[in-house]
Amino acid sequence: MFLDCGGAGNIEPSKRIVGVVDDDIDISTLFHDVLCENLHEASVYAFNDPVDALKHFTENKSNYALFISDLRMPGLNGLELLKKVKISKPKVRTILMSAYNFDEDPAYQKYMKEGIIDSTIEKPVTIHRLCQRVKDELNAYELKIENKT
Amino acid sequence: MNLSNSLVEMVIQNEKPKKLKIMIIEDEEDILILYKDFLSVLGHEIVCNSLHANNIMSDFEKNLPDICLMDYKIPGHKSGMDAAIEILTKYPLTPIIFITAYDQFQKEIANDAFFKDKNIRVLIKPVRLTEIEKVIVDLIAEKR
Repeated sequence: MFLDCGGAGNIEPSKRIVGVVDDDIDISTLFHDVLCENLHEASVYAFNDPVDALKHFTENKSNYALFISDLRMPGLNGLELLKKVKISKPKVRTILMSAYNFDEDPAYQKYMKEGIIDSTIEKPVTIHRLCQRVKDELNAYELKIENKT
Repeated sequence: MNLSNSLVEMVIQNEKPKKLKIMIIEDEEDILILYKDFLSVLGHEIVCNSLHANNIMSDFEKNLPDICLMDYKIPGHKSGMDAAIEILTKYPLTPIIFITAYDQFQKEIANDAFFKDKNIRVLIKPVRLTEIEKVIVDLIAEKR
């Protein structure tokens, strides 16, 4: 684990978790700070190692509502990471982010079609757009939970 | 975490937080936009933001910022250090915040006679938004 604003590892059973992973530590730190300040309904955990992020997700799966991943990362790329996350917990919402235009990428198209990626964020992103997208996905998660779909 | 603690303290001390004119030089666009948004939300005006320092003096003199936020390592023919030296040679009271991943930089600045008595702070990456806010408040307070 790299950064958290969820209370030094003590996760309340009912508290939603938003995880964000980007191998650029400057970006993951700033996204963490921005989301912690703007999201009071969830705890935010930031990672710069996708393997650490997946481990934290696996250990706290029931609390995870949203998982945000950069596309290009060493070790485990964003597409593979989100696939593992979604298989492990189909109701969790996922956002793929990248500066690279992935619209034409066949793997991306396949994962969008299969529902592994729920939404995307094109970098660079403004604070407003990031927070709005995250809030939309958290709302979508709550609806899914309420409807038990 | 509360990003606005330092500003709240200023209000408690009956000091109205001043809207500052800020210049940001940062070569990573993702980071530049987040700094810019964050400081705008705090009420400051970003008078100039750039991915390089090639036109540093014309940008500076056109906007006359209250404070500069400068990445140390930037592409182009001027580094953050070159840009700061140009600014401080003509405007020695300008507060400048250097942001760098190079942790020896703080020592280099401290040992450089040119920067002695200048309003300089060095933040080591990864930088927290709270740190930037606090350092801005400190530097502006020292300038008074």
